[in-house]
Amino acid sequence: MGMLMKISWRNIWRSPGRSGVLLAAIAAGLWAGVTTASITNGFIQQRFERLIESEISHVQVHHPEFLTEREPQMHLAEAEEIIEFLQQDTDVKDFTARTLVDGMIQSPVTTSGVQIRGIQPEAEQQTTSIQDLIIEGEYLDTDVRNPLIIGRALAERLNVNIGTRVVLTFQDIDNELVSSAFNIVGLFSATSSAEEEGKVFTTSAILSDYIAGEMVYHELAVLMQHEEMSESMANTLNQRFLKMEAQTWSELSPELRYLTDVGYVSSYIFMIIILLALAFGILNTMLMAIFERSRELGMLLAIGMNKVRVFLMITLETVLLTLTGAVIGMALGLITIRYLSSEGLNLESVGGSSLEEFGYAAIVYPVLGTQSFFVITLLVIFTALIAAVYPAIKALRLKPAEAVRDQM
Amino acid sequence: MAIITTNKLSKIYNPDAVPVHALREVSLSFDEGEFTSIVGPSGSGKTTLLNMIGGLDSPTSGYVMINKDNITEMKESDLIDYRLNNIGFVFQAYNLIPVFTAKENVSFIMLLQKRDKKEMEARTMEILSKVGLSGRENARPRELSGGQQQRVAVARALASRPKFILADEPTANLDTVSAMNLIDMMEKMNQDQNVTFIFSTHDQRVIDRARRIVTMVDGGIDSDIHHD
Repeated sequence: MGMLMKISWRNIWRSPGRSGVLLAAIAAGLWAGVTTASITNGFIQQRFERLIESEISHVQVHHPEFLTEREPQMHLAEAEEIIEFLQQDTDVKDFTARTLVDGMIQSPVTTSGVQIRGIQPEAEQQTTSIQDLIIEGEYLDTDVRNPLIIGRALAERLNVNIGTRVVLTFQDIDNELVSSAFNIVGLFSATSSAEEEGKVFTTSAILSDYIAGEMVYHELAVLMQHEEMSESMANTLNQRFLKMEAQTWSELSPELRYLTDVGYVSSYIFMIIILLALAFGILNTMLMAIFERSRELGMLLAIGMNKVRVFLMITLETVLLTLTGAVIGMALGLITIRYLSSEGLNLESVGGSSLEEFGYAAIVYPVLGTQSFFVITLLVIFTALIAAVYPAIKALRLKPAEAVRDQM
Repeated sequence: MAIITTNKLSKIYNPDAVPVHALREVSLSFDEGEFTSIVGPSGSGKTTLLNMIGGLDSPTSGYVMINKDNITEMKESDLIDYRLNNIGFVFQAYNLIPVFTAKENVSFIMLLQKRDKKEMEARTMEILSKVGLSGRENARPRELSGGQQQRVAVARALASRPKFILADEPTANLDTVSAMNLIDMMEKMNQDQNVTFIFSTHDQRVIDRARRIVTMVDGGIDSDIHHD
């Protein structure tokens, strides 16, 4: 094998110009592929983290029918026991309880339908990034009576501002309508105007008092130490507590699961397309090499180099050539990713603001995991093997007597 | 004792279109230690005969025996191994591996034979010394003259310890001095080590040195003269 490796490696450099051009093409292709894949991954990861940290969390717990019916009386009957369990589980990073009710918000100008989210101010900011989204005013840890945080878009629509009093109307657990005045203490911005218009925040203590006269929770949002722990936590909760249903982020947000699944796959598909194009270049170069060296290959067969070794020699030559280009391309890609992941790739000038409308960040921080590098390396080797087969078969078909006819 | 026997060896190219009779029932035998020249005009069948003896081509009829092995009936994969361990080849255009040094070109064939590394290195240096290339072991073919390259080719052919060496027009691309040096070297190996050489040539200076001259005309044997 050492001898084959040596002859294959040296054969690559017999035509330095031709091999150099092919290496440059492979390196450029890999650089483009790796960089693009990392940008796609960065997009997805940022979107994932944003949604998990600001909205969904890893696991949510509800009354089994709450998500479909959304009735105030469908609160968590075992809330205290579940909270106690979560407090003791070391896999749980943070969690928070919420009181949720749908209702109407009314200003002197207009009325709008909203989801009223009663949160635990301290626990919520540990679990989600709600506090970071406040662009004006203050958070709910205030002395103001009936404090309320609303979205920037909703404030514009209602023509209200910090300090304005609005009326919230909603049902209590006995299906009686409750109306009360709330004071706007803060405005938040979100990734979409629909979110800014659809949610308002107050404390769960105030909201519970209005709808039940005691503390009730409709939702528990749990943030795990690692995303991979979500599934087992949901299973454990479902087995342990029978009057609730625990769901993972992928069940709660199929679109996010689709985004992560398809996003990662699409970056590999893109890489495969690049490699497929490169495979034709590699194939062409190797066929030229075989054609030029047919007498030499015929001589090797004549003096006793068996066909397996000839096949291996051509294959090794192709794999070494491709891997060399790939290593250069991936190294360049790594340098690019390292730079962009610290500086960020600002897409504002190419429609970044539109991306924000859809909930994506305008500044992307590319990411490429070890697993992706491993998969790309395997794809490169696979491409080289595919590209090597035909030239190697051509070499095997050489008849030594014909190949060396002019000399022997 | 004959180490090579050809029996009514015929080769017809394009048998279904315009048949070309390259060999016509050639029956010959070669003893161990012979220094034989196969001569004849272009197209007389010299190269075809060497190809048949070397197992590089198969005859239309007849067969080739090397010792007791009928190589005509061997499978291609077996024939490759047979060539590796029994036959040495020297080509007109040297056909060295350009990316290997002289030393590597010689040891390459022993690597294919999976010889012991120490034995391989010792034999490589010994053979290169015998062909007069001591000090040029690490030169690549492009750094050697035509004569030196052909010496490396002979060294490579010898390295595998073959039963005989087939050389097709070994001096055709060499100047007079290099050609005579090469034939001197081959003759010395034949006399000192009893290496069997069968070579085709047009070169009268080489023909004059052979102890047996087989003359071919139109694919057949015209004469077979021994000068022992």
